[in-house]
Amino acid sequence: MQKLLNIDRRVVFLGVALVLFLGLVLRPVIPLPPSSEARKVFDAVEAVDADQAILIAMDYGISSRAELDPMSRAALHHAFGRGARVLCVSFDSGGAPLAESMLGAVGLELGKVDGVDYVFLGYQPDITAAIMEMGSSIAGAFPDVDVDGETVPTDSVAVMDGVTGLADVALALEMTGSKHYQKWVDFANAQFGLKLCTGATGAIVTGQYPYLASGQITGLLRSTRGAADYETMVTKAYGGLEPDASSKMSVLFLGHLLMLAFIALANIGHWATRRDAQEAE
Amino acid sequence: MSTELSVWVAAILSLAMFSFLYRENAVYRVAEHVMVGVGTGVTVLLALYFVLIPVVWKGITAPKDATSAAWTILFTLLGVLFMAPFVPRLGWLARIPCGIAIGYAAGQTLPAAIQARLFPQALSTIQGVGDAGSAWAVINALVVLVGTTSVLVYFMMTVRRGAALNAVSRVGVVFLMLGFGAVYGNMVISRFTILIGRLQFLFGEWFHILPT
Repeated sequence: MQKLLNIDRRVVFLGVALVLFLGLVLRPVIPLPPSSEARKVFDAVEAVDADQAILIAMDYGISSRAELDPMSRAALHHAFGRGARVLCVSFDSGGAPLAESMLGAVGLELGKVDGVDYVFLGYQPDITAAIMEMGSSIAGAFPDVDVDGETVPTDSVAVMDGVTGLADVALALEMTGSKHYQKWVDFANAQFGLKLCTGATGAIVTGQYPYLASGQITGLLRSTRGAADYETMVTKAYGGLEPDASSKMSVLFLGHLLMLAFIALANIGHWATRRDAQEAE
Repeated sequence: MSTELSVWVAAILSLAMFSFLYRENAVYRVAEHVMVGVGTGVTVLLALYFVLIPVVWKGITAPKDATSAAWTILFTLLGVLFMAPFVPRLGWLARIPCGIAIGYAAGQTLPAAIQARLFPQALSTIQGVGDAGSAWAVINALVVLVGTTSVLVYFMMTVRRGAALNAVSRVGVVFLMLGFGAVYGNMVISRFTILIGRLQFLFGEWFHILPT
């Protein structure tokens, strides 16, 4: 039994890699009903009328892409599917170029026009000051934007017609793996009344549930599960979205089973060695 | 197998990082240094293109009006003072922008924390029980109420604890453990997803052996 407590960590790593690889190759299908919090995000976007503005904040860098990119992509497809105008922003220095690139790619894929149907507002290093400024003037926080490679005043682009401050935005979707969501709750929601949904990595999602319960956050996408739920609902309603998070869910399930097996083995080993020690006394 | 150079570079760097799982080695350290260097380079470039040129340079050379130019110059000079410690004799000057930054942040954060977190969260915890519609919602709201109260009692360090407070505090410990368990469980999802993303990249985009 002592052996169970002394398994080489590299055996554990190898086991995890093998199980995940098998999952990727075999692709078992595990049907899951959409979670209620992901359904709330879908419903919130569905409530946005065509031509209203949706703000999507991709406040994450490379390390959170695996979890948050599927959410952002699904949100863009959903917003464009509704015919809404999409304003995109990033308050993560490493994430800004990735956000701009994804917005451009999805816009191109769906035949949307830069500056007319969507715009990338840019990156600002001070999220608090920027959100406070956006409350009264989005163009004040982001004076210039790039449209088709040309820098133009934010006020002058068609997508910003009738959109001055956050009060003119119907809904904001905040995707993050950091504490940035608190700034959106503290300032955009509490001070300017902006309706807010969030997508979060597993590492920080637990802290967002109290805001969901209090209604400060309208809907919540919880890590890969939330992304898969949302992706499935958007695909069912609008189509045209390649499964990304959904393809990871079944593999994730196998990984979880393996983790539970390791935890069970370690506990059996611990319990047995403690019993042996007690008997020896 | 992929023929794109960028895919090969990314794949080799991923494998170099994974090599740490076997043991610390030179290949891993090279990849680590590349990551730190590239990250720093990107951050410097972003600061240049998103702050120094549009805010500082344009704010001084092409200002909206004289007042805005004066504010930009003033705060740029204050920002420069952050570098004062590089000249030991003038190091104390860095306290000026530090004081302003701390004062600004505290003044901005405190009212927001009270308005957006303290009151709404306290109200939500209390009202949850009364507002709950179904029996299940009432149970859920009661669990939240008991959990919040008992955890707060656990952190009450300034009163003498009797038997009753100790009992409530022990309930608080149970809720804390459940909370940590939930955080750990979500963390596992998070890390597994990153690993799955890398494996999809290595076996899919690089080796092309995953079913499409």
